[in-house]
Amino acid sequence: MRRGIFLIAVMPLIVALLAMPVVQATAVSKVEASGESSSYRNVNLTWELASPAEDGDGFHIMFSESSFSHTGNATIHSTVFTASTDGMVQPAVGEWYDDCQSSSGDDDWAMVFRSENGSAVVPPGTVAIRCDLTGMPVGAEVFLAILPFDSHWISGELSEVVGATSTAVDELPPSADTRPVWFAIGSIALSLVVLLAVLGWKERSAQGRSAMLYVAPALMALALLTFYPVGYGIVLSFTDANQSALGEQSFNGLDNYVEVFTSAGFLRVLGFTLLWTVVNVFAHVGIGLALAMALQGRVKGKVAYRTILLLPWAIPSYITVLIWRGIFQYDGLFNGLLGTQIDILGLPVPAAAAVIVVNIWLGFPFMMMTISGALQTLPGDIYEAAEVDGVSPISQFRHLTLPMLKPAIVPVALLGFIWTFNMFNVIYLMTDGGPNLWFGEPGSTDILITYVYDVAFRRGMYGLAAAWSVVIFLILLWFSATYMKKTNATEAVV
Amino acid sequence: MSGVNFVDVSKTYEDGTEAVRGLELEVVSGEFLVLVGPSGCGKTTTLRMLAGLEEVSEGEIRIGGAKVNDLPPKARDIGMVFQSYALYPHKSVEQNLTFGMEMMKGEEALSSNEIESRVKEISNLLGIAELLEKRPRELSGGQRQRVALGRALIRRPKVLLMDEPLSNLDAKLRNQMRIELRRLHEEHGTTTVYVTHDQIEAMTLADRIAIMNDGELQQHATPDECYNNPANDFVKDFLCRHIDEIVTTANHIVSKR
Amino acid sequence: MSDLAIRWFAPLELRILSGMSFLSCALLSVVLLFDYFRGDYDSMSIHGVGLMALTVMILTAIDFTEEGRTRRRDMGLMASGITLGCGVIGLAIRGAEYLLVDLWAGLVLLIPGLSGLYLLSTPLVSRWVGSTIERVEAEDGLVRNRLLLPKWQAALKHVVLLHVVAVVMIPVLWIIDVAISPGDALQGGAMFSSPTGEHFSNILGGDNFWVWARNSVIVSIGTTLLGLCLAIPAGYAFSRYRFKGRGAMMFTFLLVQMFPGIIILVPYFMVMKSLGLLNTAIGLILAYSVTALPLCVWMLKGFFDTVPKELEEAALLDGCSQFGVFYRIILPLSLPAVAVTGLFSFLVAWNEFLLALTFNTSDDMFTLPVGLASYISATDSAWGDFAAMSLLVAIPVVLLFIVFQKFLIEGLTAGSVKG
Repeated sequence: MRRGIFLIAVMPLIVALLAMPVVQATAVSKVEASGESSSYRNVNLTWELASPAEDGDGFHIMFSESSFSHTGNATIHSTVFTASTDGMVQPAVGEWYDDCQSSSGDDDWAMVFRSENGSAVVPPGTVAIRCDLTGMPVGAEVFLAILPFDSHWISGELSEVVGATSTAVDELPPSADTRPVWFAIGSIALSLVVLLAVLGWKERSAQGRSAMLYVAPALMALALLTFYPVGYGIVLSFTDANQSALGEQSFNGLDNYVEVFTSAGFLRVLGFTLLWTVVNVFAHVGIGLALAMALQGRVKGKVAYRTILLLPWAIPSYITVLIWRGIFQYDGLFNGLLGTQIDILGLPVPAAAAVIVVNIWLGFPFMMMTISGALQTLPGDIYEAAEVDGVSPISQFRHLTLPMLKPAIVPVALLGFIWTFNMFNVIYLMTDGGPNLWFGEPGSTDILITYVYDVAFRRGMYGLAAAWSVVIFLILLWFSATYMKKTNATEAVV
Repeated sequence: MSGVNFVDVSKTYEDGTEAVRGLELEVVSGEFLVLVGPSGCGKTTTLRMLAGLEEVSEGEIRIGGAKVNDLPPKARDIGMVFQSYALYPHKSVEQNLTFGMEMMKGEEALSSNEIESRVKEISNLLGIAELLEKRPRELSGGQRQRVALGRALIRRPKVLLMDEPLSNLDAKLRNQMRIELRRLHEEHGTTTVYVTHDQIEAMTLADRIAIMNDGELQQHATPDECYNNPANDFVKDFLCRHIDEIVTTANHIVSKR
Repeated sequence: MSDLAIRWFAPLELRILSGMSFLSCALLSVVLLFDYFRGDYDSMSIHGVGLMALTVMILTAIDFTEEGRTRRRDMGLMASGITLGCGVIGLAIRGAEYLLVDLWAGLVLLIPGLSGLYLLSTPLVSRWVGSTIERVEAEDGLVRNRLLLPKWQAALKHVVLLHVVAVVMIPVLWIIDVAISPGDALQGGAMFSSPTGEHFSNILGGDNFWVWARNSVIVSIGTTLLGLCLAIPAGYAFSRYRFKGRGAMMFTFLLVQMFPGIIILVPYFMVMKSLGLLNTAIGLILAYSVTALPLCVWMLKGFFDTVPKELEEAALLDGCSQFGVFYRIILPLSLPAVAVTGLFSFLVAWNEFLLALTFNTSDDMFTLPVGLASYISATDSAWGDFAAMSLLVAIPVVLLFIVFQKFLIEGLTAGSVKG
């Protein structure tokens, strides 16, 4: 009965209920890691179980480049499930990025099985597992731990964290040839000079010529440092440029784009990016509008209110984001104030909610100020006319204020959309895209741009990252064009 | 039935300025009263108090015999034409006319048929039938003026208030509108209070004029009476000398030819 | 005739009540969310019932029609009672172990509950509900409404604003608290007991802060100077000259501002790498001055537009050259505007994170943002030092921003909205 009542009251929350941890899984008794004898970028990890694994148990291998105590600060490298292995194949060493072997006792190691979708599966009764993990940075200590879970969900009982360093060295690529770049920049500058000279010469008036002279430096800078990189980026997106072969890339056609669209996390990260952007922009405009209206007219302490409400905009965003990260820590202020024990940044749904809340907090003052400015320009007399016409305050807001604010809100909302879409700092500094439940895929709070950063600077796939960038750019372009068209169209109708 | 009474009305603003002092004024039902005076004399404040846009500090304002001091503007059954017209810039002429009626609720609400027929009637009366689809910014000053008037009249108010409605028009148009306003008044007979600083406008439009200066009523009588028997020096100065000057100047110009 | 006042009079109490209930509903949704976080389903159901009672209160108070007044008033009273009860039970469940949020949640229910009971049963409301109200009373009531309603509305507004202020201030107060608390405790708590300056002396006594600050200052000043050198002539030309391609060029400047930074990040990085400009100040200065350039050009154009053209023409007649006019007349006149634009590019450079993170990877070339972030992302533990350093970095920026907010916001909105 009681549940029924609050179900009606808080329907939307029910969805989030699923994220609650429920059952404990088999515990891990001993973890060891070593990077000494492994091959390049590899680390070996072995763990033993307190009791033989049961059907439905699973183990996330969490890793991080720094020591960690919560799942929120680590990434899932790979996952091993326990299930009946009937009909599954045992691949050979080197076929998978996480070569794992399992033992049901007495040191007899067997390769793990692979299900149809590639999951590593060990039979029930397994007591120890060891994995050769690839993709580790060389020469730096990495930290690993096991997060056991059962088939329902993650339970956060993290094992001991161990460190290991991959020591094997690989041949470094030769340093790149910089001449082509200089050549490109030089030729662009030269052609711009020629173009401006021609334009200035064609322009008969002395005015036009001096105007060209004044604009030239800015235009040149823009061309060299914006348009050239953009063009270069588009070219890059059709090549196989990567960290180890800079300057020696070759064209590989549409391969990068195919990889972008077929990559496992594409739709998921796109979906979260859209959710992130739309929720933020709506909240920014809504809260900004409400506060602008509240501060309209005579309010006691208006200056003080405005100054305080401007703080989220005034404080550098990287600082506030890190502050919020502190607040959302396991032993941070949020849990302290509420008396809860939630690993907010370590669980997918709470982490997503947290980053969105923080960005809403960051972004509303800008909207508040812009809308406040627009409110000042509205004619005051029409409100008196409405008053005489017998229009209630609520209708005045709906039928007069809102439509008249529209021309001001439409462009800043678009600007807000683009900014939020590209809001790197908040995600990167709060969660770094984590919690990361899928190795080699975007994490659960990754938006497109943080993922591109990962692809480019963590994995070193410049060509692929450039392709992602182009896709992002096209999405934004398409959205802006449709948005402008739609809003103009409705304006003509009203 | 729809006369207006000011009974010892005063208005003091929060900063202490006294805009209106002890105003006693009666507007008979169906009358066209012009409130005239130099700028800052309190005539606009008086009108805004009557409209309910400004609070009354002391005294009583009655419309149709009922005290309206604390009633909201919508309860007073008035229509108002603003100096700046105050048209809703994002609404078409038709929407400007109908907005107030469409927002009515409960027992006052009008059927859409009724609204439509009123729009037709008013737009024909004011000659704005062709403009119904246009936005205010596409209209000329005179056309906006008519729309503003239409918006005030369409609700069939008991009292029509006008705050310097012609001051933004050029001389020729002003003349034309003046004649038209008078014609409208004669046809409709709505009680009208009209504020202006222009003596000529006052003299030509009014059934009676009320001359104000420095927050006080100086004289309240027919234009004729005011001109021929000014109650005091101010009225004489304000009304008679001004008009005499115009006449003299005109004569002067004629004689020079 | 006499019923005009009676017809238009509705007791102020109802308006207050509906406003109050509306606000409480909004706040209660947050309370429910917190209950959910705490997994406290008992409180959640109680607060859920409270929410529904409040909804009923809004509905009854909002629009009393002629006929249903008595019934509505009774429902309103019942709902107030339930709201009050929920508040009391909610607090009782917590018992002695209540936290600040519990108290707040209790007040969110108790205040509208009590007010509802009181306001709906005042004599005036009772008589009004029974339609036995006198005309004089209604007239007095109208006066009272006029005098008191703005005050009540202002009070409700302040309650809303204070809640927002609290949400804005919590992180700020928290970071100050952590900065002056000993150790790296995330709960802080030293604000009122034993403040310490240990974190500040750690930061100011160490090398990192000074090295990073030096880098940031070099980069920001370089950006400001280079950016102004590029933007002033361009802004002037756009403001004063009419030449072929002017419109197209101005549009280009606007378009670039809409460009997502990410699309240039990768090629930027590769160009900088090829040119050997990674881990240098010059690379960042080049990148930043171009990032801020479009907006600076637009801001300056707007400011130059306000300098009357007649001044220029007078100077030309006096025998000044074109450049002389620009240099002797326009620049000195718009010096404040130039200063504001300079401040803007300075702040852009001072606060930028992504490019600095990507280009300058060795820790002696970090700028303050990257350095500060490295305190946290590396270990997730040096919160005290981080807090102290945040304050050192943020306070001057915030002061600058607040002092110059009017100009900065004007310039920014001019640049962004005009498109």
